Amino acid sequence: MKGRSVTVFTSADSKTLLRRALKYLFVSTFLVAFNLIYGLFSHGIGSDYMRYAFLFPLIGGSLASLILVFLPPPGDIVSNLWRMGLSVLVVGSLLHGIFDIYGSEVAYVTVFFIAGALLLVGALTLYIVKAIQAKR
Amino acid sequence: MPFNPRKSLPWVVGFYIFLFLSTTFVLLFEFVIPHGGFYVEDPVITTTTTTMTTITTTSSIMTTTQSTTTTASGSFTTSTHTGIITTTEPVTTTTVPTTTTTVPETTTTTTGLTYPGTLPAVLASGTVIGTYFTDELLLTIYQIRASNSDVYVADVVVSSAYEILTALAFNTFGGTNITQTVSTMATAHNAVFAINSDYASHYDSGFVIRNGLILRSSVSNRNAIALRTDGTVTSFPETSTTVQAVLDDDAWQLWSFGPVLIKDGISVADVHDGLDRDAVNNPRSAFGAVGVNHFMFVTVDGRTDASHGADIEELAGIMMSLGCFQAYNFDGGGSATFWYDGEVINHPSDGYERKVSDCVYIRR
Repeated sequence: MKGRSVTVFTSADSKTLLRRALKYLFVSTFLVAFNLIYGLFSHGIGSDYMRYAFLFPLIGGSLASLILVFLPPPGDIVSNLWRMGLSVLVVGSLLHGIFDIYGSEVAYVTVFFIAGALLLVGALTLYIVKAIQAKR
Repeated sequence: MPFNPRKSLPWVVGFYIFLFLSTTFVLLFEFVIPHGGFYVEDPVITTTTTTMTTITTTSSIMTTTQSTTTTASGSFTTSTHTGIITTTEPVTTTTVPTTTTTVPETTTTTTGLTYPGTLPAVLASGTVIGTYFTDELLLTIYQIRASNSDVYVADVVVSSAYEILTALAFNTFGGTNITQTVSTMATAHNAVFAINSDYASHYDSGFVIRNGLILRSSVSNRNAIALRTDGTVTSFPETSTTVQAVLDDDAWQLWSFGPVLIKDGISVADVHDGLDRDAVNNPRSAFGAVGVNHFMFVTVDGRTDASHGADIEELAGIMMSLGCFQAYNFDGGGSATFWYDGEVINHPSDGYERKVSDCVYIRR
């Protein structure tokens, strides 16, 4: 933290946000490819959790970044919390898919979804609170 | 937004390290590290046979009857509960004349069992791989061709359902990654025939009764199939009953994998049941009941050029052609293993025998 300023809002411009959107799109594409390659070795057995894991970075990353062009930009904390939430959701989704395809039930994978959702809600709440404070 | 460790806060970097480590641990815990489970003793089955002669004076006909009492007992121990269960089959009286059993190409005389009904046409045209007869067992192993695949069939007639036994890897149930090959389990239990079953420890829930013992009582949404001590077979949704009620109904083995292929003579398999694994061609193992104490154990090869495997409807078709009145899908894919007299007869799709948590076997 020394010598580093932590801000809730930054002056991220449209170009930065568009670049973020593209990078999240790349992650989504990677997840689609991952599912297809995994499918080659799973003898036609798939899982919706793995199949649709790409939606997290696509909607929560690319789409959210595009929407942020028209909204106050998030700061470091909000961005990190949001990114962490998406990461946990993607990892949880992939793990759930792997276990589905293997045919086993692993109940505690749900923890990943709960943790990811909490991180996203935390980031969103912080963003809204700071946005309201900034308006005042 | 890219993740750049140099520009990130230490707690963020720590979080991603934690996420990586926890993911690695979950994968190792579920796929590599053996853990959990409890020891289950093999059942002790004693069969005593006494012959008595009854003379009916009115007709002056002498009848010889044989009383067979089969008693099975087993036990399991866990850190939380200990129990010994003894199941006693009602005394049955059977007239046992010397019988002649006809199998394809050979005529064998046995003093114990008669092949019930007629041999299904699909078996009559198949290749006999082996036969094994005792007073309590008529076992014939066939190879047939169906669904563009090599199919292996164990046609089993037993004097009592107690002949159909379950072996658990390391005699342990309920753990994860506690597995052995079917060959290893079969050899250790002096089996003549063995086949993989439902890989019960694969799931966290679902009824499990093995060798007359309740090993898991939590309910699942699957349909189970039970083999009763009287040699009859029934399938049902687990949600419709309790495992204790099933045991009280004289269940000797209960398998929970599915789906049900044939119920009361009607094929109920559906490739659109929502499970990908049921819709695609795969190696399969299945269990079917033709009649009382007359069973079919089937393995379909798959994932090779010679054998495409079967989807769940095709598998039901195979079981129908074998005359099954009830039939049930076991664990398939690389787990499908058909073992007879010291060797694996089918071609496991992994190229080697996959380790599983349990198998069904018949003792020599």
